[in-house]
Amino acid sequence: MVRAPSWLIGLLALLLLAVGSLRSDAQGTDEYGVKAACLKFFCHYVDWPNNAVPGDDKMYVVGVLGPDPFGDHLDKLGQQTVKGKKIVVRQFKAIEDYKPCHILFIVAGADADGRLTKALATTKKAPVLLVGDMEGFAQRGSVVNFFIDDQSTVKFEINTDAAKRAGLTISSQLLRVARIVKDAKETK
Amino acid sequence: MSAVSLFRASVLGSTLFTPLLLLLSANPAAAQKAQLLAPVVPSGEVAPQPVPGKDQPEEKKGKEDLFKLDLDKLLQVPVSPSAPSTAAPTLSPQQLTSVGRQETTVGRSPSAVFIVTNEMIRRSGATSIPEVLRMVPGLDVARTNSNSWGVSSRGFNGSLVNKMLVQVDGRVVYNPIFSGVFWNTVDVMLQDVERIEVIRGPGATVWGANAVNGIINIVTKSAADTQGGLITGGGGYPERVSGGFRYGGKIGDDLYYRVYGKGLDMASFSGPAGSLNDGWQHGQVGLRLDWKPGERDTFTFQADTFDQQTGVLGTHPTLIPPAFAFRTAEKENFSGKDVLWRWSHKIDEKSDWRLQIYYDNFALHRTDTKFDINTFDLDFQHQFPLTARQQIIYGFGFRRENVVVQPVGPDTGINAIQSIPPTRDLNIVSAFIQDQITLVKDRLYLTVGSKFEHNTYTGFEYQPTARLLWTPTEKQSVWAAVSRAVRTPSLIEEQLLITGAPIPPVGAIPVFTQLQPNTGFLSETLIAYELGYRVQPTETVSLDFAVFANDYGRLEVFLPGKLTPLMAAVPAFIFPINIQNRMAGQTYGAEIAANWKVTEQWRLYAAYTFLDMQLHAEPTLPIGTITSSEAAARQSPSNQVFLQSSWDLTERLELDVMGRYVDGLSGFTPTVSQYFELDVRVGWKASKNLELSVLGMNLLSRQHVELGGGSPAQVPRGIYGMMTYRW
Repeated sequence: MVRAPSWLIGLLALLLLAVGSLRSDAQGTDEYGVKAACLKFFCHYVDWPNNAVPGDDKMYVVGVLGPDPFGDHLDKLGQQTVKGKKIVVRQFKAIEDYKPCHILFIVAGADADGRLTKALATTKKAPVLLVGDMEGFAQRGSVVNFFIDDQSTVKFEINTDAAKRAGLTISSQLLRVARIVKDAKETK
Repeated sequence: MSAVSLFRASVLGSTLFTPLLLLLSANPAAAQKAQLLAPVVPSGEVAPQPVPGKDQPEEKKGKEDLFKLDLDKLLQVPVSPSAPSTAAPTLSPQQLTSVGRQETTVGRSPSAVFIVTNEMIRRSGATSIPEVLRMVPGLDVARTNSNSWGVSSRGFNGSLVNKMLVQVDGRVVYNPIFSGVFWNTVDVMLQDVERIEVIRGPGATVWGANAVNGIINIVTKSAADTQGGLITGGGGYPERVSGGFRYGGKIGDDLYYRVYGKGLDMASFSGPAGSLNDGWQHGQVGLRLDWKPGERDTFTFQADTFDQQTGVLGTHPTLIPPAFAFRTAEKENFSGKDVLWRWSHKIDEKSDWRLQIYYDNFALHRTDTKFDINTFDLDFQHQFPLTARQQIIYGFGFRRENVVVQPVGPDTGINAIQSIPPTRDLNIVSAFIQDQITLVKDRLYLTVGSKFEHNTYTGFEYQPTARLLWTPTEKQSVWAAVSRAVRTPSLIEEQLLITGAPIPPVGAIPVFTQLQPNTGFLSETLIAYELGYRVQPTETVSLDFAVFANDYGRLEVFLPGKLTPLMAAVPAFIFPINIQNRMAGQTYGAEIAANWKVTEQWRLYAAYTFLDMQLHAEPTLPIGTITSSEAAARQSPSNQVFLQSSWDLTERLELDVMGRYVDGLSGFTPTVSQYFELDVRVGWKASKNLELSVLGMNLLSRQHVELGGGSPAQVPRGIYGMMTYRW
């Protein structure tokens, strides 16, 4: 008789959770919250040539290529203003949908390699700040690349060769906190 | 009854051996004795389960508006990576190292794992580690009295839990006296804890002996993450007053430090016959340095020391008639100090090595006996990829425990505790190797390995494991494991002679119960079969299931021996109790944990634990011994439920409600009743720096008993108010 109540409670608990599982709040994690906030700083500390993107006197366009890992954080990014210009977020499922952006974030994942390769080809020499989220992407030509360091904080590296190629000027404020890398040997 | 308390005093004091006491207190009238003996042996306890899930409460910082931070601050925000950047599963991303000594995530661990984060500790309101552990699914936490707890997973709980490995920052804190933990001496600044990793089931392949039923690994933050000051203090009942401080700073560019101190005063609990005089006062100070001179190397140095006065109702055997024992309300003194140095070197992304050395001194000074244990431990490990698909980790270690046990105080003609020999070096030499093989990329992994070690008592031991992990999707994982683990003998089994008060306590010719060591005692063995499933059906819900079947061999039983005359000035007899490996057992269990982030402000968490223990003492043993030994199967709860609601009422006001149900324990005499209890915490962030909270503990009844024994302590209803100021 001792057992009846406990089983019951266990069951109730599970029911509760089962009910809970019916609803879903998509949430990004902190990691992507920080990365989204970093993207805002990139808008601030990078200078693009004029007319890099149509309508760029009024806005910064941040593109996300691949399945969205940011969740709510992306909406928040879309509410930010930098130097009097609004940040506008665009999501692209595939590179084929790509429209010019100031920043193009390449979502990490199993297909990320392909995404980077295609993005590099598509945006060749265009003044776009490609932002990677996978090890080795900076060396492969994305201008910026995020990583998580030993202290579990978000950091990024900047490939200054790639920035030069894209015609972007990166403020020392950003370079100061970044790890500077160069192209990998095999990259042209 | 008196014998019980006598014994209590004469053995290691209240803290240790409640069961032993029982044992000794038993009346020589056979059967009953046997029953009493039982408690010492394995008792079944239920193991809760780990909670998977990224939706565990995150650090408070996560709630700040990240877009308002400046860039430098932003890059200092600790994050819980949502997915390794190599497209791995996002399931249960909390990091841990206990499973395979490598950093990995819960979702990718082929073990039953639960992580208590710093935030979860804060929200629990708990002020001591065992109280924090109550929330952990799969752990049975039972408070024996004011200063002692039994903490076990997958059965065998009691105040002599001896099948759990407990570590603080890589330093082993279970005790060679009885292979268990004096939880009253395991303390850290809870605010500086990074996480507590709890693994249910064996982890012996990488950790070695004693990681049989589970591992509790307390990991404090790097000094770099505890910069600034913190003062905390509070009071209430039964914890009358406690307080602590920490200050962290930086020297030069790469050297971070922190110093801390803390103290507490806990009131006595009462038992059937009034106060147990088991209140205690504890004081502790320590420091930590973390130096990172470059990208590759990290050096850590830690040192701590504590001193504690613990009350006990002491009973001591003597050869002085008529009582042949005397009893006093007295204090015993626990003290300790430790120094640890660790060097971690990263070779590249996938290879690193680590060297760790520590020294630990532990002293327990009772009024009749002094224990001094000096431990030196060296540990090295190295991991590297053997091929693209194989990651190897191996290591070796050496530990020396110098143990000194000496009678002190007035000569009573007979020693309560005597060690043969009084001084001894216990050496453990060990090595392990483990290979993680990727069978199918991102999908199927096999881990195989074994520990090999040699110890002073039983010689060579091996502890292999094979674990399979299948991650069919990013949101699910299935794992299965087979492992062998051993619980190596402790001083109690191998070299201590423990004498209780005489039974009956008054008489012309006293008969002293005496626990006698058995130098032929072997390691207890376990073959464990485990299966687990983790799933995250939605972004906000995560579930974790584990089932196990454990097969134990060579479990210990306490066997009454023949009455023998004591060679002494006064005529007296010894009633010996022998310890032998003469029981087998099977335990079966299921553990379910579920986590649901209902809204950004409200989280629900539930855990259910089921345990079935079956023990089989050898049929050739006396019937009384069989009965008492097998009673341990009913000394751990069959069913346990834990429910928690953590709710942020407003930006500043937090409400946490924690309820638990624990089955009754029929293996004790008298039996321990089932209980429901409820804790409620209200927290208020008065300002950026100041936090106030009130915790009501065990609100449903005036008092309840959690563990059986001679004179079981009543755990009272309690309240505790606390304030924390940070700058």
